[in-house]
Amino acid sequence: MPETDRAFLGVEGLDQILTEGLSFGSQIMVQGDTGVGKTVLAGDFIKEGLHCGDTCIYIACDEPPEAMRQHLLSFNVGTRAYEKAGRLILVDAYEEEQSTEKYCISDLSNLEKFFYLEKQILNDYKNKKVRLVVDSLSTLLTTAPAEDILEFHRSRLKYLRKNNILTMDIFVHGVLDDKIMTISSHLYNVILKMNFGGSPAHPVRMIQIGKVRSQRFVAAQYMFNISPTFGIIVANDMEVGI
Amino acid sequence: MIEDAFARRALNYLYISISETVPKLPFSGRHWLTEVSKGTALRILNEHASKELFQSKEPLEICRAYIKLLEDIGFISSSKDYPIEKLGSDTLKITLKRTNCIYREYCIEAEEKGLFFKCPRMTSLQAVLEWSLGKKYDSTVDIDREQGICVGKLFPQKKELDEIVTRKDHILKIAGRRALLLPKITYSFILEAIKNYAPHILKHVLYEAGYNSAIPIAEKAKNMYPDPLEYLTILFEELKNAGLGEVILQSLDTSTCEAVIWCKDSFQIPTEEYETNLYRTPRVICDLLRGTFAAYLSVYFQKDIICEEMHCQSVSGEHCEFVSFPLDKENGPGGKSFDSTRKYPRSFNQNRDTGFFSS
Repeated sequence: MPETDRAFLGVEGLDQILTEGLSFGSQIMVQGDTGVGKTVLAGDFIKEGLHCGDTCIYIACDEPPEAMRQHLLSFNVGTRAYEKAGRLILVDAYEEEQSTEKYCISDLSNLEKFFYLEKQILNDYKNKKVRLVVDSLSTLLTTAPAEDILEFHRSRLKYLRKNNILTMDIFVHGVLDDKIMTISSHLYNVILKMNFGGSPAHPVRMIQIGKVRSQRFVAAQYMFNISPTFGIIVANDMEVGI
Repeated sequence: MIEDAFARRALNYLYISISETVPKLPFSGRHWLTEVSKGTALRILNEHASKELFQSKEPLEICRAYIKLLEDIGFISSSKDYPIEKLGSDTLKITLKRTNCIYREYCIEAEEKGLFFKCPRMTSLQAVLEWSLGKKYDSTVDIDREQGICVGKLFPQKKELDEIVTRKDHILKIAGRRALLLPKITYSFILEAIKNYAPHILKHVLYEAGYNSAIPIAEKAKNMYPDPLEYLTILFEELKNAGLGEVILQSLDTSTCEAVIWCKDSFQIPTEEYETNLYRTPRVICDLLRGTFAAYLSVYFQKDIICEEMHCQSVSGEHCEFVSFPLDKENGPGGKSFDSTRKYPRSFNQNRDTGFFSS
């Protein structure tokens, strides 16, 4: 087995494309249509981390954390053992004051407060290999002014990079202004775009993985499916366009 | 014969040697040790016993007749050393001073070295009762070390005792189903083929293969061993005998159905290290054992148990660690760390603490 500190997404087809993997401190932006499979991807990413001995923090903004527990269970991953061992931290940023979770974040309209609480949680897991997923970050940013969003991104991503946090931020397509999304995307190491393609009668799921270079997002596009047992299955030998 | 110190010592050496050898054999078990003792008793009966001696249908009389026979042929010095009495309607009690027992060297050394042990005297009486009455008997021995007294009990066998792994002629069976002994490289190539054609299913295949194949074995063991500790110890011993790894139960909470299990030298580790490079990064890899343990506990507790491998020897450390929970507890956030609740970890050489010696 290779001795490496590199990390992978946990989706075989994508990991074959990311031949070198990612280093801790990298940041992944996942953009996608509603219902395309962003949370499934987050589950794959967490499952991969749990199996590799990483500490995984999942901040649930669009659904209660229980949805992720059930989702991981469908992959044959019992979360309770990892939660008890402090290897999986599910943060409820959905139910806010009504949350019964051990970790919760309320007042989501206040970005500074969110960043402060996020740092507090991360502070408990210093010197560990941490994977952080925010699902979805766009929910937090919906009402914030553009300047605040960009400042939040800059300071937060800088902090996460400095602390070697492998981060996956999820953005729902259409929630934020295109211009903000474009500027923000330059701050991430890897961008994953997930959308529905094909025809209205025969929609297919498409995924692109790449980096922003020379102001342009360049990546091959692949079809993918979602299996309730195996998660995202990318047909990486069926490239459909560049 | 009892006067012959050399013969007595040789007999004890023979039993010690058998007990030392049996665990070294693949698919071995303590049942065969009982069979050896029974076979010896049956040969003595065939050679020396006239049927008139054993006409009674009373277990007490049959046992007394056998002890008298041993005295008559000079195998023991006095049948009075073996007082037998009835204990309830179908249980017999035999009391013996340890100093009078011709098997004491074997008994003491087996205890000291943690060897398989089954009292040859008691098993020979089991054999005699089975021979005379056509009915299976079982036995236990309690040893009072301070007083130097053994108290044996004989009683009708409630359940058929057997090994989980058996072989008849060229057919090997595990829990009554045909089993195969394959070189590890065959297993490795199966995994490699799965990895090449459908890598995303690999972990699921291993987990479910472990789970589903362990169910019939677990069901058989549950019928044989109703006590949870004994049940798991037997199953873990079978895994060890089959070469899958040395498994130790670290903690078991029967009220919450939660368990922590360690496995040293899981068979999966060298498969991964030397042959297939199944994964890109270091990770937990013993999914087949994970499924196996989940099945063992699911069968025992009669509810769905899920098992996670929290540490793997393939990454670091001297063993893999598995933690299991009932699925109905999966709903709800986690609580305290496991490390604060684990009280009495056992090491890999403390199998004996599980109480099997008192058989």
